[in-house]
Amino acid sequence: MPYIGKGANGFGIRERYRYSASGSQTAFTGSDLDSKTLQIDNGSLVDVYLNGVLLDTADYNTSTANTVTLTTGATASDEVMIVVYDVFSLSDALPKSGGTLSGGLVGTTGTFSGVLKTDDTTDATSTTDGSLQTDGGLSVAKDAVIGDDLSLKSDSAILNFGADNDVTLTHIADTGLALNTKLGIGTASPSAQLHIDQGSSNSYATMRLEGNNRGGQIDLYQGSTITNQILGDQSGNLYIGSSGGYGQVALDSQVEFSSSNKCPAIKSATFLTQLADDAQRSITANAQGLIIVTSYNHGITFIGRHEYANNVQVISANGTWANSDTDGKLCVFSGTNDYSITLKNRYGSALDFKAIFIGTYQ
Amino acid sequence: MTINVKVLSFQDEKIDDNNTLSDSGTLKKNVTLEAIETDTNESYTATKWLTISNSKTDDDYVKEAYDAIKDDITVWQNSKKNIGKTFNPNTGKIE
Repeated sequence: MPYIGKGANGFGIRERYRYSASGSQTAFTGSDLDSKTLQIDNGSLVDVYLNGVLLDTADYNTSTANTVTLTTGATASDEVMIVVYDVFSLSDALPKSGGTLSGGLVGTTGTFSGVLKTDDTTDATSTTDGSLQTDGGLSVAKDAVIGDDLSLKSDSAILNFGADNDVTLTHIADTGLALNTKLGIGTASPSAQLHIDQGSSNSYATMRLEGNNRGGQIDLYQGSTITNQILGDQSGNLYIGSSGGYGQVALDSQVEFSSSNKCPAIKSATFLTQLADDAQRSITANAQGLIIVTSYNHGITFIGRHEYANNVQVISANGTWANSDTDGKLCVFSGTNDYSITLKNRYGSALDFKAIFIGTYQ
Repeated sequence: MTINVKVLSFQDEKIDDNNTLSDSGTLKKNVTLEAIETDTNESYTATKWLTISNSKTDDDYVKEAYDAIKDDITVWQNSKKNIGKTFNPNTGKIE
């Protein structure tokens, strides 16, 4: 846009006033033929025409405020036209080189080649209260970094991943999250729906199910029907069953151990404890069945039958063992009308034991 | 190595001089303690039959049992501490 005017300090405006002179009139001021009131801010920014002829500055003066005074009086009906130029300054404008706006900026579109930044620190709790807001979408071509929480405020909100949104994480209102494909932890190429890969040598892949006054629970389903449960309780017992939950899980089918080269084994791989000489401990509670105890130090095995009504009966054991509290022996015994089995080391020195029980719990 | 000591049994039993259960034995307090090494979960169990006295509190019994076996616990810990470690012939040290 071109500007009319003179200086670098502002931009000019132009106003024209027309007067019809009376005989010998010298002073022209006030309302003109167009009812505009002559206003002169700077006498040097005035052109005066008499009947269309531009007068020399010597032919008039502007020494009186808002008045053009001709040196020689005009003839009646002469047309005196006064063109007034004025300057105005933009008292509140932002230069092209940049600056600070103290108020808002409203527009339709904006394109910036540099960083668009707001220093406002208002936290966002809704879609309309953060320091950067948009009523529409937000497209970001590169990385986005969120310094604090990230909220997806709509039910069924989706986090999409991939160029074609092939992986999605969907909010299920009041329920949870749904991932539409595999989840890999510690692996870049999950080969199962949940694939946990422990990369460190000699390290287990771990999963922790932490109950409250209970252990963990894994439910196996066929369609929508539960078929099996694996539960661990707060006492360290492990239950495998068809269904039923804590305290009621029951196996309606079979547990099958498959092995191609070796005999399948149920074994206690860890030491039960080291028992000091004369030390004893109950190794089963509320149970009847078969007890197998091995002495790690001696490499010998005790096999016994335990019934509530009777003491432990020896099925197979060498003379180092006894089914009663006997000095010098490795003792496996119980009382009558007693569901528990006691292991007592009467050998004369501390020994390590392993044991396994096969039977029924009451 | 941290040790937790758990009370496995705390009951009165008639026991003879050889610590054999006997109906004709002396009534004593059976206090069985299990020392569990928290790093390995290995444990050492010992039983002590203590003289019963009205002046003893439960804490007194357990402390008396613990005091009686704590040296054995140390021996047991020392017997385990090097198992699984590697001996370096060049340095002559267990690493």
